[in-house]
Formats: sequence, C-alpha cells, structure tokens
Amino acid sequence: MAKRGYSDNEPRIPKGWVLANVEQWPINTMHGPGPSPANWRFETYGDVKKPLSLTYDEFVNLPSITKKLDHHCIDGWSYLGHEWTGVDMDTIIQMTEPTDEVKFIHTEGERGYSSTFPVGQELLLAYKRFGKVLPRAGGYPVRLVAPGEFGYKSVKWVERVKFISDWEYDFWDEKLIAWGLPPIDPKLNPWNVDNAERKAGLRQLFIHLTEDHRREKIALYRKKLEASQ
Amino acid sequence: MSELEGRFFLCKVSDLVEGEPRKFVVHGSDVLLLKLDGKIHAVEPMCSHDGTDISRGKFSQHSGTLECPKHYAVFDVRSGTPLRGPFGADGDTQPPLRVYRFKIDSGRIMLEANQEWGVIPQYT
Repeated sequence: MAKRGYSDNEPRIPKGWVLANVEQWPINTMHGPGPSPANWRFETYGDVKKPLSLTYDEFVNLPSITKKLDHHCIDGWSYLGHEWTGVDMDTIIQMTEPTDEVKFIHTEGERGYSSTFPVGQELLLAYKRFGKVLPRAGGYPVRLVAPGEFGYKSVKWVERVKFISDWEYDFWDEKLIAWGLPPIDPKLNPWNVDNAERKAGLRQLFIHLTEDHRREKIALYRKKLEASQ
Repeated sequence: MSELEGRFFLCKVSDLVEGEPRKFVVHGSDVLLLKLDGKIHAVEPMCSHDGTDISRGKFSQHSGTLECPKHYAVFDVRSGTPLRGPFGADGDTQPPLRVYRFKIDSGRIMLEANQEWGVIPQYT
C-alpha cells in the first residue's frame, strides 16, 4: 500500500476536507476511556510461532521509532503534524513470527473495539505523542496509528493483536452489518469520499450512531431511576 | 414537571428569555428550549457528530444557530439542520438535530411525550 499521510505527500488531505486549527488535541471516542488498566499487557496470538505477552515497561523498552504523521477524521477534518513515538508493527511481526499463511492483522482494543489490516500496511503502536506519554483519553497505554487511514481505524487502548489468514470483520464492519448496511470494502481507497454515494453512506452511519447513543442515554437514565426507587 | 394526558409541562412561555436556552430532562431525553425572535423552539441538544451535549454551546440569536462546544459543528435551531460539520467541514454527512413537538396551552409549554416512547420527535 502506498504511504499516505506524510508531510511530503500530495494531496495532504482528502478532497473537501478542512484543516482543524486548534490548540487542543480533539479527541473522539466511541465509548470514552475507562479507568487505566492496572495490569495491562500487550499480547499477540492467532497463527504465530511465538505469542507475546509484554508488560508496559517491556513494551516501551522495545526498539522505537518517532514519526510525524497527519490525522484525518471521517467527519471531514484533518489535523496535521502529530509526532508519534512507538513500536513499528514490523518489530512485533519479527518478534512473534506469524506463519506463512497469515495475511491480515486484527488489532484489538478495550471494550471490543478493533481494526483489521492487510499484513504489510504501515502501522505504529504508539505510546507517546510529541514526546509525552499518551493521556488516557488519547489511548494510554498504547494506541494504534494507521497513517493514511481515517482515525476510526486507529484503535485506542490496544490490548491484543491477532494474526490471521482470512479477513475478519472488525468493530465498524460488525456495527454496519448490525444496522443493515454493507461492511467497509477493504480495497476501497479510504480517501475517495468526495462523492454523493459515500456521503450518503456516511450520513446513514451517523444516523444509526446517534440513535444508538440516544438509546444508551435513555437506558442509563432508566437504570438510575430504578436504582433510586 | 408533571404529566398531563401524555404531555409534559416544561415551563411557562414567560419564563423563557431571548438568547438564553434552557435545558430539561424528560424520560431521560434532553430537551433544549430556545426563544428566538419571540418564537419558541425545542430541540434535542445532542450533536449528531459524536453525541456531545450542545446545550452549553454558543447560541447566536442573530443567525439562529447553536455551535457544538467540542468540535464546532453548527446547527439551525429552527429546523435542526446542520449548517457546518466539525471544524467547519461540509455538513452534508451530519444528521439534523432532533426537533421536538410541543404545544402552548394557556402560556404553558407542553411537550408531547409518554413513558413508552419518551419525547415525541417532530421530523422535518
């Protein structure tokens, strides 16, 4: 896959996108961060010869890289020039030794969030941004950074990486299917969004997402009400 | 707030001040009442980008718009229409704010709602 999302890459942002010029790092999350895990470990499993299970200290002592990458949100804005420090997925691949049949990487975060990628796509398991340890809301202990993809692919609060031979639906694929919408075609150029069909699809997605959010809010209210009675 | 024939009394018309939105909670749903040019509007203050509570967002009497305090999406409070997405992005993909039905009965603002369905939305 061609590298995207670098400062020397043209075009630097998807067509129709705007630059978010803000002091604060805008943070989107599906669920919001839970409390920091007490005994976090980074694990690999699936079709691998050497499954890994590393503590935070062991993880941050692995060979690291620092890169400047741009962030693009599916909602139509980009935020340029994040400096990330972390462990290249290639380092993890060398350590865990996937079998020859492995073609995909399924990255899993807290609360069931996940993203699937083809082996060979550039992925960074980041633990610092601009030299500072990630805030909890920003993905502490470790978050994925997938340059050139939209932000929803960059799993926060990574716990496990599964190496698989067949494509596996990830969090958003499962959600779209549950809503009666088609899963995301992995061969589709993610930046090809400046057309009516993709915009209509996104609008449908947001309608379902808002409805889910509304339902969760009302369910929480009813639960509190019942507890108080 | 009391229930009366499937309607909820929120407040009196005279309680509302131009340019000062007021938030209520009905069956777990947030309802924002706004007075604009003497006319009252009721919307759900939930940003259709990520669910942020926009009741404390910037309300412009001049344009009749409410801006999300988190990522600055802008909505027309009269229709719920998204005018701008987050950070000024094209609002094409954003769903509208939910607009609520209500009636004014002897100067009292009555929202249509019931235990089963919650607040009844007025789709535009």
